Amino acid sequence: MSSRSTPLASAHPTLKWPLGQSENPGIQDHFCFFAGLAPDTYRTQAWSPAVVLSPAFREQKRLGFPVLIADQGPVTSFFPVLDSALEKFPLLFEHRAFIYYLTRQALITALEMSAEDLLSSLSQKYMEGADLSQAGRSQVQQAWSQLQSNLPFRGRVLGLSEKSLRVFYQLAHQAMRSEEWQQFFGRLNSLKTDLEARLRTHHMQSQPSDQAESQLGQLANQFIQLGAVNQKVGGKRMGSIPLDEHRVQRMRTAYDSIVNFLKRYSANEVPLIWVEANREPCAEAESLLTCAMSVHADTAEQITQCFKAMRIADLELRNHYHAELHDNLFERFDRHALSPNERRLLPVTVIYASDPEISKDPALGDLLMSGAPIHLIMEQAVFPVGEYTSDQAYRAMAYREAFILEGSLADPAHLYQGLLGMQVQANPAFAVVAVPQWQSEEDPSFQVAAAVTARETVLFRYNPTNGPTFATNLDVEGNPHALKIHCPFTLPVTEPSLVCAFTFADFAAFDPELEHHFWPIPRDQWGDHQMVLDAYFEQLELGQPDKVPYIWGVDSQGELTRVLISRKMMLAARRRRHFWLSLQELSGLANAFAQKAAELARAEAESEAQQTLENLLADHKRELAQATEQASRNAYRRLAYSLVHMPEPALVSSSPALSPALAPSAPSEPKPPAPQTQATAQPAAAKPAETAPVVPSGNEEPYIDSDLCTSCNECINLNGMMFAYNGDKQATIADASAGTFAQLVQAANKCPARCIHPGTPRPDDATATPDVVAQAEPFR
Amino acid sequence: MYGLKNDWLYEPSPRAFVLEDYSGAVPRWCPGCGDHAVLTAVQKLCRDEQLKPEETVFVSGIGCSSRFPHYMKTYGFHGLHGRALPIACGVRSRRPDLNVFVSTGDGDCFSIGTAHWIHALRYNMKMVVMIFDNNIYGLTKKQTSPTTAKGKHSNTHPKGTFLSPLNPITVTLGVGNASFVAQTVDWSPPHLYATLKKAFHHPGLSFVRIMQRCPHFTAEVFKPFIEDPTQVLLMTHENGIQVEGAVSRVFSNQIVHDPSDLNQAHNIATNLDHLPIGLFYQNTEAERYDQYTINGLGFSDDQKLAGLQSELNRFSI
Ligand SMILES: Cc1ncc(C[n+]2csc(CCOP(=O)(O)OP(=O)(O)O)c2C)c(N)n1
Ligand code: SF4
Ligand code: SF4
Ligand SMILES: [Mg+2]
Repeated sequence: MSSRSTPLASAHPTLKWPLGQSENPGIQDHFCFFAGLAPDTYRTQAWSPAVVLSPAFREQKRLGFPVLIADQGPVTSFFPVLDSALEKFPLLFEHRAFIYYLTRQALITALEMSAEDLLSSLSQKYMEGADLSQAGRSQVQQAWSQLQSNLPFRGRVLGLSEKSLRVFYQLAHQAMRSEEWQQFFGRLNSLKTDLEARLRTHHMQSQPSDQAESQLGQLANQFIQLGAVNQKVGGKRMGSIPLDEHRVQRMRTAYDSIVNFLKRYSANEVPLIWVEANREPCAEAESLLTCAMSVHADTAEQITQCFKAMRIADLELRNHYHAELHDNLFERFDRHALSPNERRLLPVTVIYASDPEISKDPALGDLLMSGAPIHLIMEQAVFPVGEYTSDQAYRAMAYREAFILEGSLADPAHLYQGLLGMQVQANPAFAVVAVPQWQSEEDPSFQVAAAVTARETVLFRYNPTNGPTFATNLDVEGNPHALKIHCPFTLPVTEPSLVCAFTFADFAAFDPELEHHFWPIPRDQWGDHQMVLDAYFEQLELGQPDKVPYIWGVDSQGELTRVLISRKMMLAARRRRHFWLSLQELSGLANAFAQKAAELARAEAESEAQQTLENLLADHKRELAQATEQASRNAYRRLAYSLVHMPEPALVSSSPALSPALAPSAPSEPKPPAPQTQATAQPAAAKPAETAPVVPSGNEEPYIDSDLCTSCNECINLNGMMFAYNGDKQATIADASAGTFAQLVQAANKCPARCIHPGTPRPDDATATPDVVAQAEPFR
Repeated sequence: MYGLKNDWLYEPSPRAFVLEDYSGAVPRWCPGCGDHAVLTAVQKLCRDEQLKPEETVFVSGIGCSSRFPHYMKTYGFHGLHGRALPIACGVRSRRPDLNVFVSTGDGDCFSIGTAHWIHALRYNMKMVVMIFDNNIYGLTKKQTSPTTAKGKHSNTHPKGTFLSPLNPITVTLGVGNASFVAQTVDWSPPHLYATLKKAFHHPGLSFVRIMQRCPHFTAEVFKPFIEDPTQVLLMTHENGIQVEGAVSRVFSNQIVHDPSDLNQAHNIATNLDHLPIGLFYQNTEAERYDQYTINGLGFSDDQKLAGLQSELNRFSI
């Protein structure tokens, strides 16, 4: 914290409270109480934001890095995990500060390491660096090797540095995509093998025997006679369906395409294309985002060719390629035709850009709407605070198409989850990640943590694939005290301790460049016309308060002091407050409409309850009056009776107020029986006389009794155009004109199920010799 | 924009299975081979029952018919000659959640696998066992099998076989705990399908002998039955295999047979004048070994260890 050292203009004689802006037209931007003086001279003594007194707040600096990204599990701070492992080894535990130091050193050079590697490097460095006796040495050595041999944690350890975000992204990318990618490679390889096998079989079948012999050479000839084998085996085409030249050509092309792809990429490395300003291939580009989109389109097109080859191969191998259907489809096949699963395999293009680069680029909307797996990552330094935050992530959400993440290095677990979420998408994703200003004197973890607490950085994820509304898609989980407007912090300096709100102004107070927005108020100037900032906001929401807002600070003696803020600072803080309120509402955390509705419902319920209570009271009163009256009447009657009939015993009256005996309710009139409508049985509509199929004699169409077909392939092998399987894999006549009558008769003869009926020949069919027609007779 | 032309996706919704979802490699059986018919019937059964391919396994031995698992797009185990049944029993013992099918040939099951055949019947673990009986060793090209007809010329008996064939049905009916014994023919798709369907729903081991044409080596064997369907004897009963009118018209030679009547089943099976098809015998109450072998499936390693310890402790002195 830099100290504000401007000379103290204490106890200025012309001090007046309060001065509305209108009275100070020259310095409108300030809630100014030192009237008539230039703002610079208002600076008083050195002070710091009061939050530094809060132990909890100081704690939060220590959250986070280095982190352990567990193999199957969450992201946690590494040191606590390390501590619990070290506890079993008192020798090491005692020197854990030194081990922490070594860890940080190791992670400065390596950025990230596997836990195993890190531990072995730590043990080595420790042994080098520690000053130990011979005996101590061997004991420590033993402790280290024990620790290493049953490491209680596994995963990757990542330190905090300028590169953390990139490494984080890469780890998430690898974690989410590598399995899919390897499966994809497996699939490619198996297609390749199958295609090879199919083409090889074809080659063997179609090879003229003498050629094959010459290939095998004279030597082989002595042992087998390929010609003879071919005649025997090839001639009968054992089992497999022969290929025509188109199919062979298609399979070859598909095969080549798959082989090329396999050569180009590796199964173990999921491709990832980084695009940055001033770097190839977008060094010269006017618009970085447009350039990135075209880079993506190029790679996508290459992979699309491979997907196309895969589909063709798949269809061919299953004998499902139908040229008349698929040729046309595949001609038009481009990257827009990929299935969601395929799209997830397109290499991700990652754009790494700064806020100005993105703000200025007109193609942002196009990119977010492109549907392409392009990930845009923007680092946003939280220091210097600046007077206005661009809220790029929030704005990008308005397109409602891309996955949006606003994260922070302050919360590595949230960040990692978000980065994993990006990987699941086949759509564009945009991550805005708060990072510290590395050159600043403030501790980097503190910078990012304070920004989150002040709602300067709001952690959120927006996933458009979840549903149609913000309530389904927006998730603000991970923000501290998410149900509150501001995060509270407790100052133990007063009795009872003071609970304050950590507003944007409290955060901005850490930035020396903004010090001209703050003025500590000398204690003797404190008054009722000053109001702490969050209360001021509440007042402001009800109407213009005639107060000036302040935040809490501590002076150099450690005493609490009020610090007046400029109007501009107040507006900036209000902007952040409203930003958070909007997100609360959008995500469904705190919705003004819902609250109003609830209030209304509560009021209604209350008034209803009130009404019922009043009614009950009134009833009670009435009954009470009745009973009293009755009682007194009885008493009078009894008195009168006893006076008349003395000394007869007193009459015991039965109170008429008692309920009268229930009159037996009149038996309800039996209903007249419903008129029994005698349903006259409708004679079933006469079935249409079964008409025999009209077959003009001498012109019977061929047909197959498909139910009896045993799917033996005989007819299909004979003529695959004329015969085809139906959805139940049983043969039908697909196109009688695709073959001759002789073929029909041949098929009928071969059919083991005897279910092919050739009918009668068409008049123009020359193959219908009397002999053939006679053969067809038994099948009619 | 991506993903707009969804009509491009030729994959159907992944959880509604069509025939193609069960077709694996391209079958290499000869054209006209009866194995094609069984494959189609089984694929239809899988589709109609919507069996999840990942929860279905076909186990086989060695032979033409044992290539079956390759042609199904489910799990498969192409085992050793004669050993389909022990493997299937092993699968069933520890994975009772799977649908287990066995495809085995007359050579595979009745010759080298005889011991396993008998014991698997006795174990009566839930599975469908399909025996493709083409009366020959097909894959190894025409050697005598236990069901080869007397006098048939084969590579092992070039001058004709000496002995009369084994009757697998009477053998099976003779094994005490056999609980489902059926016979069908590959060339009647509806009967084949109905038999397999009944077998699939049987709670135990269902033994289905399928008379299977091998046009390559035994073309003449089943020809008479195909050409003259009256040589086939159709067993009918309300508890038997239910077939539609068309089938029962084709096989006009019929006998009403109650599948719980073991004696009559024996009689029908012994009479070789006709080829009987239908359900010989069914007993849904028979003991099942797989109900014991699944014991302890949910145990963790620790529980198993504890169980073992306590067993061993009984022997401590
Ligand atoms: C232990 C062993 N013995 C012999 C063979 C050779 N062999 C392979 S298949 C087969 C006979 C298969 O006949 P079958 O089971 O009827 O099947 P099909 O081919 O007729 O369908 C034989 C003997 C083998 N593979 N393993
Ligand atoms: S030949 Fe007959 S049984 Fe074979 S596929 Fe054709 S119609 Fe079906
Ligand atoms: S040899 Fe016989 S059993 Fe084997 S595939 Fe050919 S026809 Fe079928
Ligand atoms: Mg056989």
